[in-house]
Amino acid sequence: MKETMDDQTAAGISQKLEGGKFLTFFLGKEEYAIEILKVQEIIGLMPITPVPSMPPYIRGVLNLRGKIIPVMDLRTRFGFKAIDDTEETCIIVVQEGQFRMGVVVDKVSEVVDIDGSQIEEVPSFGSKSTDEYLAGIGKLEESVKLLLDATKVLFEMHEQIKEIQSEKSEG
Amino acid sequence: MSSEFKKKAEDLAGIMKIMADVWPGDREDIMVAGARLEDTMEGFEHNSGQIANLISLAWKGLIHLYEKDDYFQSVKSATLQGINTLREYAVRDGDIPVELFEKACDDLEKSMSGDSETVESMSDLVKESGDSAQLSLDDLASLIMEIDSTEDLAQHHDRLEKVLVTCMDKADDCDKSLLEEAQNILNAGRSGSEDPEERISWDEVLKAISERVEKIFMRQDGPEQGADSDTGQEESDGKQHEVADASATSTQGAGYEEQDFHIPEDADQELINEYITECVEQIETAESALLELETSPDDKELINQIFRSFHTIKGTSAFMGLTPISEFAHSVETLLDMVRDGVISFDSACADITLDAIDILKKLMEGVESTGNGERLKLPGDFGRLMNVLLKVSDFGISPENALKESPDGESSVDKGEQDEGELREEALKDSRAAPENIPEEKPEVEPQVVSDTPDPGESTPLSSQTQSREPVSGNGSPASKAETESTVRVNVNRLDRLIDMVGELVIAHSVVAQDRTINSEPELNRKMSHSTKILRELQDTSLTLRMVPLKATFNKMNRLVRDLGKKGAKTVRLETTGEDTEIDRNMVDIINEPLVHLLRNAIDHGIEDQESREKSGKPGIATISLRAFQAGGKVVIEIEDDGRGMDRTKILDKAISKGLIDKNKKLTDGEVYKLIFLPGFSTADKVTDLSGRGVGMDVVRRSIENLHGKVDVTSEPGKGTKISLELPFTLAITDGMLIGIGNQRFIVPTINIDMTFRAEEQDLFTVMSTGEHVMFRGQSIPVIRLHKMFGIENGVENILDGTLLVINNNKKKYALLVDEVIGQQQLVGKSIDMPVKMKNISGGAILGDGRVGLILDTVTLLN
Repeated sequence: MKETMDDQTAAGISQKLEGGKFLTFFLGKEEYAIEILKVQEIIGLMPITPVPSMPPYIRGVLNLRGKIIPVMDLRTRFGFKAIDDTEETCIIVVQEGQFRMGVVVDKVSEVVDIDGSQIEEVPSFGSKSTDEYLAGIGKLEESVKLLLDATKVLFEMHEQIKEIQSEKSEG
Repeated sequence: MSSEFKKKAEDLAGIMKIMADVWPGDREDIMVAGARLEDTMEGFEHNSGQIANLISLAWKGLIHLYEKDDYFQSVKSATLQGINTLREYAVRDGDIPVELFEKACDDLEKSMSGDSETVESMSDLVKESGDSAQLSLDDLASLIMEIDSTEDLAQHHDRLEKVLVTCMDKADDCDKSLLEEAQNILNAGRSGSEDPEERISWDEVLKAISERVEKIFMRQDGPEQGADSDTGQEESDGKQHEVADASATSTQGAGYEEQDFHIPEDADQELINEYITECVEQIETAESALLELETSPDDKELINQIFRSFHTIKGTSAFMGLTPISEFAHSVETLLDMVRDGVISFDSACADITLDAIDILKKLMEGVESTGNGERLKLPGDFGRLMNVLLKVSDFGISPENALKESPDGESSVDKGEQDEGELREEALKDSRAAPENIPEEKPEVEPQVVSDTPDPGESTPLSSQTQSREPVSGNGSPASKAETESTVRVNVNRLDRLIDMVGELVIAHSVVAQDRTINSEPELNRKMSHSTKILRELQDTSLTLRMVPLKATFNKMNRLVRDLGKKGAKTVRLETTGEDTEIDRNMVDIINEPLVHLLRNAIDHGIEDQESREKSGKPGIATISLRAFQAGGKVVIEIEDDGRGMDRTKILDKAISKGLIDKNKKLTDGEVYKLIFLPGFSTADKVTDLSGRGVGMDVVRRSIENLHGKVDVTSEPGKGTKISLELPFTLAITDGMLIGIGNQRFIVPTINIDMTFRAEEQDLFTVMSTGEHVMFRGQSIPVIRLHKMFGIENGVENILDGTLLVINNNKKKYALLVDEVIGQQQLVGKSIDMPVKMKNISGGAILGDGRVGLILDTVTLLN
């Protein structure tokens, strides 16, 4: 009973982020942040096996010490322009419940404390993706961090997949 | 006293405290005690060989305690005494009579060899230490236990009283009153102790005292404390119940009243789980022994085996406070005791009663499992009925057959039998009274655990080190009961799986290293590498066997099934099992259970004729179904063969055609015809019976076997019988896969789905309606699937003639898969992929030799 309640809150529409420690990383010049508690580890790029019939932002799967973990390209996921992998490109392994997902980012930056009072709601830009994937904006003295809604970005893609697949079958 | 000695004395006292809580089921602390003893004794100044001797003996005692169950109590107390002597030595600055050392050494030696005067040494300890903190109820309990096994009871009276009084000093009020009761009983028993006639009452006295002690245990610590000392309690507990029940039933009469029973509020969930596992094991042991007993009713050892199982269930249930279960098990035990003593014979009614009892116990276990603390335990519907039957047989000497007949309503039968009941009742009473006295002679009651008899490497009893060898195997015992018991350990399945996984990973990681170029250029490194490869291979082989369990348990279940089904269908069927020691992955056992049930049902319902027509056609009246298991070519084969009427080719064909399952004009081989029975909804039975006929069963069989990557095969000869063989892989953990390349990607196809690989010739290819490509393969046209197209892989071979075709055979549907090349065959550890979105045509993944992930193709969905 308790579990399902927790699940419901986790899947709640706009989950209010609390302050705490965040891992920040770059996509291009923008700095994003993800709750450190969800981060299992950071690994360098390693061979990724592509999986057929997957949305383009799923790069494939990799072998993390015997566990097979799917890998998502966050640039593609956000619809940014793809770039070549560099020395700094790395994979953040995010865990939520039984699911794990490797996230390819341009480079990891730092671990910061963001207080609950520093987190502001995402202003509506009218653009769909920003509203949907961000849980808030952390305004620190020197910079702005975009707080990722990890659950939504990484683990909830059913609707989109359906669209993609139906498009494909139609085409 | 020097400060150094003072510290040593304190340390030794600490060790003794640790030791006091050590029990056969909880011996981790011995290690701690041992380590501390070593520390303390280091630099212990002494000038006599006696001390060195005693230290080394105390060490041996600890090792003995850690390793063995034998004489646990006496060695424990002797070791404690030895350590205490060392402490005395420290306390008195070495001023201590030599005799004390000699005595301590002597006792230790004796105790380890098994012939100690345990009670004496125990109470000596009590006397000498004089420290009430050292004396606990545990000591009292163990003292009672020791006296229990001694013949001469009266002389221990004083010691017992002493311990009782000491315990009373520190007990709180409620415990105190119980202890006082115990003391009163003890004193009451003393007056008669001179008279040999009164000895029996001594027994009662002890029981009464141990009952009080147990109450204190239960009250104080709940179940946990009990687990530590469950040996003592279990034994004494069991006995009390026998006595109590015997007197209760004699006054109560025949009718067993069902009462509401609630699971104790404070029950420890972990303990309950362990209890259930153990009982389920015992039930299974008893069941298989029972079925064997039916064929050889004179086998004493089998009865003993069943008796022991019920006894254990009774004991542990009583300990858990599950009174209805323990009472129930007790009644069955009484019945079995009558069989053992030859009061009644083990006829089919008796077998029915006991088998019913086993079913009820199973249901009770399920009930306990699903019922929370403090909730009412739902007793199975038959509980009251069978309880009455059992009471009738045990208390009133009614024959099992009659008791079973009268069962639905017990009262009337009792009225009828009222007149001659007096005599019978007396006799029955004698029997049930005789029971507790018989036990110590018949079986090793003093043993810490009443163990299960079946060797079962996969599932062991929680306390290991079973001492099976002590039980005599009777001459006509079946081969199964003679099997040696191996000592086993119960391990959490997840941990085991993790271990097996990790070994698999290690093997792969190792092969990545082994393939490294630098190694091949360095001969020395290469040599070392091949050495570690060998070790690793052995490690892998061993780890894979960890999860293997024999099919014995599954086959035993089938035995029961055949018996019941045969009765229902009024056919006499004998099940012959061979190869029950064949091992199979633990995870597969549950899955093959259902197909086997269906196949046996089918065999009995469809395959086997009734007795009359059997005899007419010159077959033996009793039908035989053989259940065989063996290994063949890296596979486990299970065969079910009956000697019934065989399959009717025409009937199957007609049915298939009438249902539109096949084309009328199609020519089919016998094998193909027989395989039609696996189609969903197919049934040739003229009427749907309780057993089978709905046409679901065989479909279930096929599907569950295919899920296991196995194959089903049927052969049948009209009039002679049918044989169905199931071919299964050893384990689900490892699959054979063919590694294929398409473009620059690689995939794995399960080898079991591949019929053949070949290169097509120009003339074999043709298209249908200018869309679907087909290829002729052995005179059959099969569709071609271009995998690179389906998966959108670039650089794949476009021309069919340049690539390789894999003929995939799946559930009679064949197709050819176009791939660039076949890279090779490989053993793989299949893994699931937790992709947040469903993957198409991919069933999972595996780590390949180079450390990359290979995707396993789902050959079933590819065709759709």
